[in-house]
Amino acid sequence: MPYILNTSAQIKEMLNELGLSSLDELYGHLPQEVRTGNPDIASGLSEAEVKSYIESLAKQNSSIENFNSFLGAGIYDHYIPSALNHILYRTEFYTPYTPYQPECSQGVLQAIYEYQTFICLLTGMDVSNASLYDGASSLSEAVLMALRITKRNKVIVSETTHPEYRKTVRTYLSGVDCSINEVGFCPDGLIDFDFLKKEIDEDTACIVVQSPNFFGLIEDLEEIGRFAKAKGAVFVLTANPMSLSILKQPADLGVDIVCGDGQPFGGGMNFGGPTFGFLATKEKYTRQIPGRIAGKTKDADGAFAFCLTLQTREQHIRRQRATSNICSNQSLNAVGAAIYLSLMGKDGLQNVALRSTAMAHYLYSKLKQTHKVKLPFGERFFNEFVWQIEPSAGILAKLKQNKIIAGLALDNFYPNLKNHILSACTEKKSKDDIDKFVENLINP
Amino acid sequence: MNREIIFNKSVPGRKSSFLNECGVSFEDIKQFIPARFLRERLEFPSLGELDVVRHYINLSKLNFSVDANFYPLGSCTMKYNPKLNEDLAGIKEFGSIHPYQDQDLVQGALKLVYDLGKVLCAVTGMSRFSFQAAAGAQAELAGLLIIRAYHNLNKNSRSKVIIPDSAHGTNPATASMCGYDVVVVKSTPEGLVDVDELSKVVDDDTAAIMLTNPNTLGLFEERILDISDILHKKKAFLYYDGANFNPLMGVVDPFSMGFDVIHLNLHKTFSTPHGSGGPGVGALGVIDKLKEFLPVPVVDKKNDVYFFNYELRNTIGRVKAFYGNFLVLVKAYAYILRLGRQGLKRVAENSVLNARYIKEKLKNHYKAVSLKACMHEVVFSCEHQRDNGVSVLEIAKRLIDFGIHPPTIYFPLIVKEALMVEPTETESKETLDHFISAMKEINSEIQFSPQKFKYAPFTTPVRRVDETAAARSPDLRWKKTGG
Repeated sequence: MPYILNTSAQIKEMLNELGLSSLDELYGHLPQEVRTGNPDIASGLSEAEVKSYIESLAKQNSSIENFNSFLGAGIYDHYIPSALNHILYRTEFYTPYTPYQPECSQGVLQAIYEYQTFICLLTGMDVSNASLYDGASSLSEAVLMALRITKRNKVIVSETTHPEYRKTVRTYLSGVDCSINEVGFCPDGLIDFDFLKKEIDEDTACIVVQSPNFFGLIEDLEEIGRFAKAKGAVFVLTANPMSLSILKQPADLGVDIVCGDGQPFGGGMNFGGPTFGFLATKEKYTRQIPGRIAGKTKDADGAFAFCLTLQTREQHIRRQRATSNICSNQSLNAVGAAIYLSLMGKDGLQNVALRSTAMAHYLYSKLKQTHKVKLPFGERFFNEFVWQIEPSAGILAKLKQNKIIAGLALDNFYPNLKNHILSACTEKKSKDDIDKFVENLINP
Repeated sequence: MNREIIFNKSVPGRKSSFLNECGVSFEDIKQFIPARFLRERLEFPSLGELDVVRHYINLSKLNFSVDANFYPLGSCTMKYNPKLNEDLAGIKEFGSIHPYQDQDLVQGALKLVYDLGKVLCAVTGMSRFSFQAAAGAQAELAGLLIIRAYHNLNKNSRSKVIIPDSAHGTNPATASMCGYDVVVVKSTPEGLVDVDELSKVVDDDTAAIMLTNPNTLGLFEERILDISDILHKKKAFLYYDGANFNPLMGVVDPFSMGFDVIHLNLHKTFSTPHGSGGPGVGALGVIDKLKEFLPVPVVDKKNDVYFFNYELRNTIGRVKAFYGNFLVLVKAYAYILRLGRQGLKRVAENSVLNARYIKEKLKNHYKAVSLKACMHEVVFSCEHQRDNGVSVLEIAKRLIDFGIHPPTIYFPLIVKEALMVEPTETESKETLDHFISAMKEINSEIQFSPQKFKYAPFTTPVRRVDETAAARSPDLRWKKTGG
């Protein structure tokens, strides 16, 4: 039998020790009514058969590499250095559990501590946790933190926050006594300040903003931060972490909690998962942070050592009074990000961000030159932007036939934005890729 | 080796240069993004590729892992992670697909998710699965919100969730996140749910009970059908925390035990690696009348075409962006295909056999918490050892010197000096015997040299780590000064 080492002789010997004569007798004390096993599933296959079958399923997918793709919207096709997965696939990182026993887990604990440092340096915040599930759930946890911090019950969310994140926040908060109000956007795609001013009041627990927003535009966070501060609300930012390598750090803009999805840091697209969520905040909110945190301390000989710490926040200690129910997070993906950031360094990372931005703006200018498309929003965007063409469905389909995925149609998420398309670039895009796309658009 | 923090290994000017020519400067970008939005400093280390490789490879060598060590961490099901699964999850057509690609380009992925759901329905008796949740705790959140939504829809909202005192910490934490009051029900001296006590606390205001079976003492809740009756008579639901499903797979299905909503940790029972704390998957299954409440989307099939169905009438919404930890599903599905019906059952049986063998061999040396037959894990109380001056923590630390990752300790909370051992089915009798002899040797060390335990472990890269100091003066990140 695959994956079971004990031979029939050993099994028999062990059963003898227990005074039993068959494996079935191990379940002898269970009520007969529940022993309904024997599920209707196929018999086991050989390793070669499993491999060949799963490979046949894989062949029914088409890898994004077969296309000239401009999809983004939360998952980005950045280059992953070969060294990254060679390190991460070490089974010493891959197969342990959460590092509860620090003496035999120093490697992963130090890697998590380094990860936390990278996130703090990137965001300007004082403290980061060891990761959460993804961007959407990290945003939800950030909002729950804000409710605990302020003991208020009104949540304001910008409508230009990723629609799936907003939906996740609503689900996470559905058992909590609070209201969620969404603030719309101006014709230029940025948050509507007048709307925001009207909404925010002394009951507001937090303002949630995504920047670069879902349309790729960079919000004026400093201004929003002033509103939040004036009303004593917590300012929660969700951000593409790649953008933070070139944008002003959130801590300097009045942001209290910054979170987001770490996929751009060396993560594959993976059909959307696994990725990981990051969350960082100011020191004064440390005890409200959800999830694992690694800390540096000393061992009995006085040498530096690491362990999980501040665990009295967590479910296994605090139970119903914990800051969150999270146990397993996305540790391996976070360690992957630490490795990615170490490999890239400051210049490498900023080059990725700058090149992605420049390519997106090159595409923008090429589209503008066609005079065939509308560019409804402003130019202050990072690596993606919205454009408009009619009829978008037909045009997207035509491009797809030519192996071009132009982007994401927005009407599913924003019914008012018919024929609007969100397109992203990463550093993997060349001018040639972009020229071909635009050429195909003009001469289908 | 040089364990120095990576930030202290930085050499100004050194780099890996993955992009040979970036060709873009900050000055170029300022025409689109005004300078006041751009950052000035970023204190990341400057390192070459080999610097980074060597640093992290050396760090990896400081970890115990399932591939190198026996890892009997109770409630965590640290079974062997078959290598085949990793190869399959690494296929480009799984890893390099974008969640917003048109559905005709991802039919293989959708079929895999759909078929995995069907197989798990067959194994558990549930009617439908969602794979959105990234871990057990997140599935618990979605599951309880489903229960909440169902009661609310029937204009019958309720305020209490019942949780045994032996439950995993995630259960009460989840109930609380969902706005429920937690009512704790005690265990009997034997370690089972006190059914009489339970029948007193279940009332019309009870939304659900959250139950693990076998429970965290490794015991099968023999009166599960009585428990189910008590709850169902009050129109309350049974939530199954499937963290301990491994010994029941193919033998007992949760539906026949009366469960209405369940989660399975694919990173436990279905062999996907734990990754030092994730990614996992909390596969969430429900009975027929709760199908329309699942998170969206779910994968459906029409005329042999698979598609994402967002149209569930009473959906609770979402707990995560996109569709869950898809690559983990590939691994779990490969595992099930490889083992098949008989294989899954053998897994369950051997997980019980291995635990019971350990209990039999150690019960005269360490106090077994229950006289009842255990399932896949056995809990000892090291009270006697404590009386002789050695705590279970110190026993755990000493075990590391034998090359064994310590079992779970101080859990379940209702057991003094608890030591919770889950060997899993993938370990051989030789490994179990090594563990047994190590535990016996430790016992005699406690008799003859108890002072030794204050300093264990002796063979690890660092000595006993001061966790109290870590919490008292938190150092949660490297800083340039003082490093």
